[in-house]
Amino acid sequence: MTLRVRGLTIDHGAIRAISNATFNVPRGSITAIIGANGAGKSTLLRTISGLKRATAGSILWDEIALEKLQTEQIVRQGIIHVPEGRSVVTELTVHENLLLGGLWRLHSHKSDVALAIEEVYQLFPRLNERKKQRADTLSGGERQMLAIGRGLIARPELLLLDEPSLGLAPLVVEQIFQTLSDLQEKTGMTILLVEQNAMSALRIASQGIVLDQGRVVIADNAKAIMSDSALRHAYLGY
Amino acid sequence: MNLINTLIAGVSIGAIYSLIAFALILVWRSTRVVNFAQAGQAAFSTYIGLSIEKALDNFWLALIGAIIAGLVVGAFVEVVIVRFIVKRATSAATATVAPVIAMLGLLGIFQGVMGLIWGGEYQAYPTAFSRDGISINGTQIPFSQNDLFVLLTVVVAMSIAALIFQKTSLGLAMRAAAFAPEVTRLSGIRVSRIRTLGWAFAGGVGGLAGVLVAPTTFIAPNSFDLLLVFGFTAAVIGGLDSLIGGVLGGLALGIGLSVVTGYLGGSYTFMTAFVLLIVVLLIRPQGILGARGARRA
Repeated sequence: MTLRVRGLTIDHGAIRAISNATFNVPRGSITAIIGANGAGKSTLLRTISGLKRATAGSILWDEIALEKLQTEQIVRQGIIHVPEGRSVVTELTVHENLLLGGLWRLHSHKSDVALAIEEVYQLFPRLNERKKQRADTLSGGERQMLAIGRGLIARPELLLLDEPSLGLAPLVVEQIFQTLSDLQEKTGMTILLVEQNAMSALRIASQGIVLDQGRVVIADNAKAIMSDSALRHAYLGY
Repeated sequence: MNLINTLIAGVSIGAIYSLIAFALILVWRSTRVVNFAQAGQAAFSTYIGLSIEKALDNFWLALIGAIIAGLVVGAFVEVVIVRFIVKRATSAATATVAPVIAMLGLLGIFQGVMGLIWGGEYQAYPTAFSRDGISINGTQIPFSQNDLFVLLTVVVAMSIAALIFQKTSLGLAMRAAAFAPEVTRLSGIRVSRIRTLGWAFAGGVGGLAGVLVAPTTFIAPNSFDLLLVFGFTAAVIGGLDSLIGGVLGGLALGIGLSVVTGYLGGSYTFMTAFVLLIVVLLIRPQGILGARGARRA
C-alpha cells in the first residue's frame, strides 16, 4: 500500500495551512516530514487521519480515497495516527490505554490484541512495570511510549507519528527513535513521521519532505537532504 | 427525634439524589452539558411508568417500562437536539451559555408536553412496599420497607454501572471517550455513538430515580425540579467528573438535609442545599471528593 497525496490544500478558517501539496509515501519505509513550527505538518497528519477536512485535493491509500472517510473508517484501513502531545488517556491505566487501541477489533481478533499488547510490553518494558498505574503518573518519555504503543495495538500498516520527540530529553528521544527504526525493519510497516527535530528524524528516515509555510519545497532522499548544507540553512535552520 | 434516626431517614432519599447526580455527571463527562432537562426526562419516563401501572396494574412492569422510556428519551434528546446545539455552540460567542439555556428551554418543552398529555395536577404513584416505618423491638424507626427497597435498588443499579464501566469494553470506551474524545476516535471508536449511549444510560437512570421517588413526591410535570437541584448539588459536591463522587455526594446530601430538616425544620432544607452548593463552589470548585486538578473515573 502506498500513500499518495495529490494537490492537497487545507485551510484553518481564513488561514491556508497546506497549499497544493503533492508527494508519495513509499511503503515499507520511514518518511520524515520536517519544517519549522507552523509549517502545517500537524494539520497534514490530522487531515490524513480524517480529524480535519481538506479544502481540495486527494489522499489515496492505494485506490481508497481517504479524504471521503471518517476517522473510524480510516483506522480500519490500517492507518493509525499518534497525535502530538503524548496523547494518552490520563484517567485510564497503562494497560487500559493499550487495550483502547485494540478495542475496535477486540471481538474479531481477541487473541491478536492480547498478543499485540504483550509485544508492546516487550518493546517498552517500563510500560509493563507500570501497567496498573494511571497514565498521568508516567514520565514524559513513558507517556510517549504509551501513545506509540496504543497505536501499535491496531497493527498499523501506516503509522502517522506527530512530534514524538517534543519536550523529551535527548537520551529518551534517541531511545524512542531507535525503537521505531528497529520496529519498522522488523514489521515492514510504513511510518510517516512529522518532526521539528529534523536531524533525529532524517537519521532514521529513508525519505524526507520539507514543508515551508504550507508548501512542499523538497521531497528527496533523507541522506541527500542531510548533506545539502544550503538547503539545511534555508529551511532547517542549522 | 434522635440523631441516628435522622441519619437513617436521610439515606434512602440520598440514594435517589445519587441516581440523579450519576445521570448528570454521565452526561457532563461525555458532552460537557449540564442536563437541566433531566428533571423533565425523568418525569416523562415516570408518567410512562404510571400509564403502564394503570393499564396492567403491575409495579415491576411499570418500573421496567419507565427505565426503557428513559433510555429512549435520553438517546432521542442527544441525537435530535444536543448534538446540533453543541456543534453550533463551539464557534459562537455564546458557546458557554447556549447549551445551558437550550437545556432549560428543553425542560420547559418537556413540562409543557407532559401537561398536555397527562394534565398539570399531582397524581399518586403506587409502590410495591409498605411506606410505614419498620418496627424494631416495638419502636418504630423512620425507615420503611419501601426505603429499604429504594436503597437496595440504588445499590444494585450502581453496582451494575460500576461493573459495566470497569469490566467491559463498552465501559472502557465510555470512560476513554469522556476524557479524551480525540484519542478515542483515533483508536477506531465511534465516539458519537458512545455519547448517544451515555445519554441513553443517563436517561434510564433518571427514569429509575423517578419511579423510586414518585411515591413520596407524587408526579406532576414539574415535580422533579427540586430533585434536579439536589442531584446537581450532589454532583458538584462530588466534583462533577467523578461518578463515584456523585453517588457519595448524593448520600452525604441526603443525610445532611435530613439532619437540617430534623433539627431546624423543613423550611430550611431547600435553602441549605443552595448554601451548600455555593460554599462548595467557593471553597472547593473541584468538589469535596475530586482530586486537586485531576479528574477521576
